Amino acid sequence: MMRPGIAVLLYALAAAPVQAQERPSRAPQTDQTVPVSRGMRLAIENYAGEVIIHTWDKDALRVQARHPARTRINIRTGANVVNVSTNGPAGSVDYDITAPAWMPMKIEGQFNYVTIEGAQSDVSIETVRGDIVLKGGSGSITARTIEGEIQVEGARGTINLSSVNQGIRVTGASGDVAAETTNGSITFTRMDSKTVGAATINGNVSYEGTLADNGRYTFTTHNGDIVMTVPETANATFTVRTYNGEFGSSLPLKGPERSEIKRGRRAAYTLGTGSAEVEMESFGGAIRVRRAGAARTGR
Amino acid sequence: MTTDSFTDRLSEYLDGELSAPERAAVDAHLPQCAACRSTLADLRAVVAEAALLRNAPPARELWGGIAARIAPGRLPRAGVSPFRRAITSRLSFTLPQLAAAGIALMVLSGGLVWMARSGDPRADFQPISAQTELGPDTQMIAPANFADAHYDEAIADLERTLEAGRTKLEPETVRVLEENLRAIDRAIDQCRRALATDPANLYLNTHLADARQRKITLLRRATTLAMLGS
Amino acid sequence: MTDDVALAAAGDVSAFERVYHAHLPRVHSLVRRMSGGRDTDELTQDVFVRVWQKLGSFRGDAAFSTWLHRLAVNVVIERFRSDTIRRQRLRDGDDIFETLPAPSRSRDLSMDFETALATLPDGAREVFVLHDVEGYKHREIATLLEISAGTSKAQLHRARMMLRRRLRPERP
Repeated sequence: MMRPGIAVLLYALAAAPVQAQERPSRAPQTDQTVPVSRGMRLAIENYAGEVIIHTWDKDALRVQARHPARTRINIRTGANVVNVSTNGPAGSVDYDITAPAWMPMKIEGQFNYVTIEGAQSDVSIETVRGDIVLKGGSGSITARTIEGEIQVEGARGTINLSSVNQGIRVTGASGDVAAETTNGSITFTRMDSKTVGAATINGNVSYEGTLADNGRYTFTTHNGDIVMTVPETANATFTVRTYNGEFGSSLPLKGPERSEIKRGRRAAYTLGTGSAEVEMESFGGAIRVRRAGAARTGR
Repeated sequence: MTTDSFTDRLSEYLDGELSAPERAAVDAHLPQCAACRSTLADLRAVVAEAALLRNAPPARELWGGIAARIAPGRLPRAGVSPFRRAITSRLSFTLPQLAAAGIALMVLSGGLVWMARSGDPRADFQPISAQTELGPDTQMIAPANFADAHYDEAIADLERTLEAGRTKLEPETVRVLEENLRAIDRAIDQCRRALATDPANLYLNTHLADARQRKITLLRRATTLAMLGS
Repeated sequence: MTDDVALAAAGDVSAFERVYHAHLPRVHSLVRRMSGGRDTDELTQDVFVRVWQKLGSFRGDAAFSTWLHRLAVNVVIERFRSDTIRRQRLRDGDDIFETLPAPSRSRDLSMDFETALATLPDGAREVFVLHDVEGYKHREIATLLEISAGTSKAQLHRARMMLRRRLRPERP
């Protein structure tokens, strides 16, 4: 499989002309493994590049990195933290790191694309331009980007996600989830969580999954639509507010006439015992509740 | 089916997307309907023309604008990573305006209080709304003027700080932040216009407070970024 | 071409410029048609900036042009997402069928196809460009535009019928 190498966003070396930028060779320039012990955490600072992290059950940290020749990777082990950063001319570094699954991780950088698989402890990622992809995990996850997308799959812990310019996808989460963005849609699929909150201005929010008894689900958008796809056997109270938009449901819900929902009037619709609380607000869009399993052709 | 409903299905018929019985119905209808045959022929012609469209480059040169955004003249700082410096600068930096903007945006209205949470930036996008249950006809006091003034002041302070620091951000990032601030402004504007005709509307007031809080949060994030760059 | 893509992914701006020139006509035309001629040049630049930013995540497991194309479509859609009027136009059946009058009989020549395309309402035009010009399937269009496949089919038919009338004004 072709690996293009560096995800360079802002790449210029200080004095070198464009053509002199070295093309990274296949083998990483840095490959170091350091022992770590439980209680330590990992802190990575990378100005630009790709950070890929896998986990294993050894008590060791392996850092592989592809970078310009004059750049040095700095791995400093302290009492309870291992810091990974760079010395030397600024440029882009691609990391391929294998860390113990128990190790909490924090990755910071301006132009980082981050992918983490299998982390069982807390993960915190902050980037400006870069996508964040997280797979698996049972610790709490905090991921923030300005220009990138966020995808989280199969996470069991608490999730806090924030983007500005792009969308967020959460699949198969079972912990509490909070997601917000300004210019993107938020999509939840195969969800099995008790508390979910999502807010956007310019995008849709869609939720497919279970609604737990006594769960709380809050979905807000300004311009977009909100679509929920839930099983007929769920018990939920859907509280709907929209100013210029509309509401529709293919499930048998008990509640007021749809014509009553305008100018932000709060309307509550009940499914089953009404146990879960679902709030949906859209200033101008459509709010829909669909039956899970219905074919998605037309309306 | 009426002729109109046959006409409505002609595109799907053309694209082979009708079920077997539907297709058969159209097949049976066509020999008897000149209008449908003519429409179908026209649709075929439209699809055929679409397939023949040629691609042409733009009239003016666009590469310059692209190059400026992907490899701007400003070089990244050589040597010290900005984040090493940021760790100490975050602790020692005092920006009273930022703190004030983050702490409270309160709107008091007839028994209802919206309060924006401060502090942890990860959690502050969801304003807490402590609601007493009001029916749609309950008379509501319009939000007090002082809240508007507080908000405007907080926004102005943040914008000034951001303006001073914006050269430290990448042009692409600045553009994205500005576009998103404008998107929030449009949402705020729509709320305000709706409120002009419906000033006591509970949903609009909450939604406006939420949108304002979002703007402040985004401005704070942008300002923090700009500060980190120094 | 694959070499240039790999070089560009490694940060070589000159290689990226060659990639840009190779794909420019198709991207510019796609953007122009989907946006109805609004901000075409700026959007085209936005597309290539986004391609540069995302190049690191292109895994080479599909054709580069397909990947780039998809990115271009996403950039255009994102830009117009904030237009609330556009949202309403995509809903099937519940708004006015035509926003522009069909050409009157006194116009003797049929409209040029590209011009006619630009006069379509946003929702219909986007679906038409994606389906009939660019070859996407309804299911893909539904995902891209966040509408149902049924809405996509309805909008396509609407676009074709309007184009038919504008190209041949004597038709009913």
